[in-house]
Amino acid sequence: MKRILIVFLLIFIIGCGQPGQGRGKITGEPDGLQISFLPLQPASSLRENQDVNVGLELVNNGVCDISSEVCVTDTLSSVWAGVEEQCTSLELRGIEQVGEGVTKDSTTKQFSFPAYRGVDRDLSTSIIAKSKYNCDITAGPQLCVKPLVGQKEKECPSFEKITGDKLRATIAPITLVGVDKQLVPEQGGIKLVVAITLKKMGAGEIKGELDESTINKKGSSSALRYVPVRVEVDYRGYGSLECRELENGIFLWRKDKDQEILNCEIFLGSIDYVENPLDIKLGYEYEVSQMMPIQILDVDKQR
Amino acid sequence: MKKSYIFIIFLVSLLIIAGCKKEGTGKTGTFFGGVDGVSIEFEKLSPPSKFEQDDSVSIQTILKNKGEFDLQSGKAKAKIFGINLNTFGLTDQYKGSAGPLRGRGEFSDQGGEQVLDFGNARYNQPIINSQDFTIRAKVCYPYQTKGLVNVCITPLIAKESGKEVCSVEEQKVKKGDISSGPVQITSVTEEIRGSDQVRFNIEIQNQGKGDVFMPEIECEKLEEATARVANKDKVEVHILNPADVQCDFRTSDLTNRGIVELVGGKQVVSCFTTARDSYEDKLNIRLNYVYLDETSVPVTIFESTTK
Repeated sequence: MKRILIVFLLIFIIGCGQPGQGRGKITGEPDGLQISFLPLQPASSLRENQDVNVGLELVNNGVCDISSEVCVTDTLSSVWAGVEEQCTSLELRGIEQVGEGVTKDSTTKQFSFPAYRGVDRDLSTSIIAKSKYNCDITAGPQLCVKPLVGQKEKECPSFEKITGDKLRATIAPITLVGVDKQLVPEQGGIKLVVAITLKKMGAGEIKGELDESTINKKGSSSALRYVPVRVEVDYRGYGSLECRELENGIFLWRKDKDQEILNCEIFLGSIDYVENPLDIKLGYEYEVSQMMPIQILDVDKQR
Repeated sequence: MKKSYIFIIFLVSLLIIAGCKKEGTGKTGTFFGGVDGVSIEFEKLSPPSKFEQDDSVSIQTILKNKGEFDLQSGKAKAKIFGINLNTFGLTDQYKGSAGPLRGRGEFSDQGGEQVLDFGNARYNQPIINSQDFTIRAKVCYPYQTKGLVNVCITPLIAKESGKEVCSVEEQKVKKGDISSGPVQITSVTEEIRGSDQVRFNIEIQNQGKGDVFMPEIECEKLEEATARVANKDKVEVHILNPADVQCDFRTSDLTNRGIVELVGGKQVVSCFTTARDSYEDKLNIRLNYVYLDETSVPVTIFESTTK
């Protein structure tokens, strides 16, 4: 009897001890393509005339399908040969919810470069791997509206800060991290006012160029300070919200900021109690890079 | 020994018989009592809790009158809300009951039921993976709560000379004195004022889950925010007996019929009558109002697998 109990206990412990691979959700904090160098590919120090092999592991942690390419280059002048930019195609499916778990696509890529030559002293360089891809997502919480501000506050607060799971923030390089809702009574109905906080993932940066009309309007230096993000905010079935910071559906994201806020509103008129999704559609180009410093050793010096 | 066996068998038989006794109707006074009026719930699988984006699902509600007031056909109305009805292809109009909704009574212990069919819902917006919604339905109906409470009418002189036939002291509302309805008469107390005046303090309370509104207001009108605010928490109180009872309704002259506004779901109305003699009487009260109650059902719509 004791043995059976111990066996059961062991099975239970083993079962609980699994890392839970694949479990999770497709909503959460910003995340996307993750690039990492495979062990010793390349090694941290290479000898002159030694072939350079670069191995990358690429994991897509976001919902956007990646159909792009990944490129590898270095920071050293081409005088010494070695790593000249090489690109290869990259196809990774976005994460998907399957039951209680999440499927995540990943791949490895191998690059071979000729050796560094003619080195007359030890040199330092960095191998850089980067990939740029487009991402279009729709995310957003269910927002309740009601005909009278001040009533049924417990069920549907007139002022509400939505964070966490309720946000239904689809995981992507830029996603939403907070929605501040406000119901404003106005002549003839209710106005829905929202402040949407967007955040980009820690690694990488938003890419893209401003169109000419924006540069003309904002000045030529704006191209250095801003990158465009397409945004559309829709209270599903009731129409688009007007957002103060949007111009022709484009939000100018300051390059030095990780987080931005959009202020939007829609007049809903006389409306009964409704819980309805706020669809926040985002479209942008994102570049992720990974750098690895290496040393190229001068063979002659070693002799 | 034998005698004790017979005694045990007798005792057990008694217990069995007592256990088998049919459960009573729960009616101990004039009324069944309770706080039920017309309830609303979604019919089973209408809608189902989970369905696909392309599915067309039936939406039906069932109205049950578990109170003690009869409603004619069409008087109780229901509508679907809580979702963007356009995106589900549903109407935003009230739908009346096709038949009468009899309340609980001598011949119907359960009360009447009516099913309201709101047609089929089909979600016409894109879904990514799945989306949760809460479909709500509200019922709106005019209702009446009746009260028949024994009261003591006695002048001060009769009380002080010990010639009163009844007492004004205790709580007058007893079990079975008030008919079942969401708005209840929760207390009636008496006090003697002056030499020949008896005062009744009648406490009225919304004990249901929903909201109460002024009688005669149309359900459709309550959809307007201003009308809703103006008519909320208002109940008409009508004292039918004793005939000369007058109440202080604040908004009108002293009369036996007027509107009472509930504050925090309750209010006390003060009424009085003249007592020339000492006798027991029935305080016959009617509360008229419109009641609004709601229910909800969570549904999950999954992204279509047939693209």
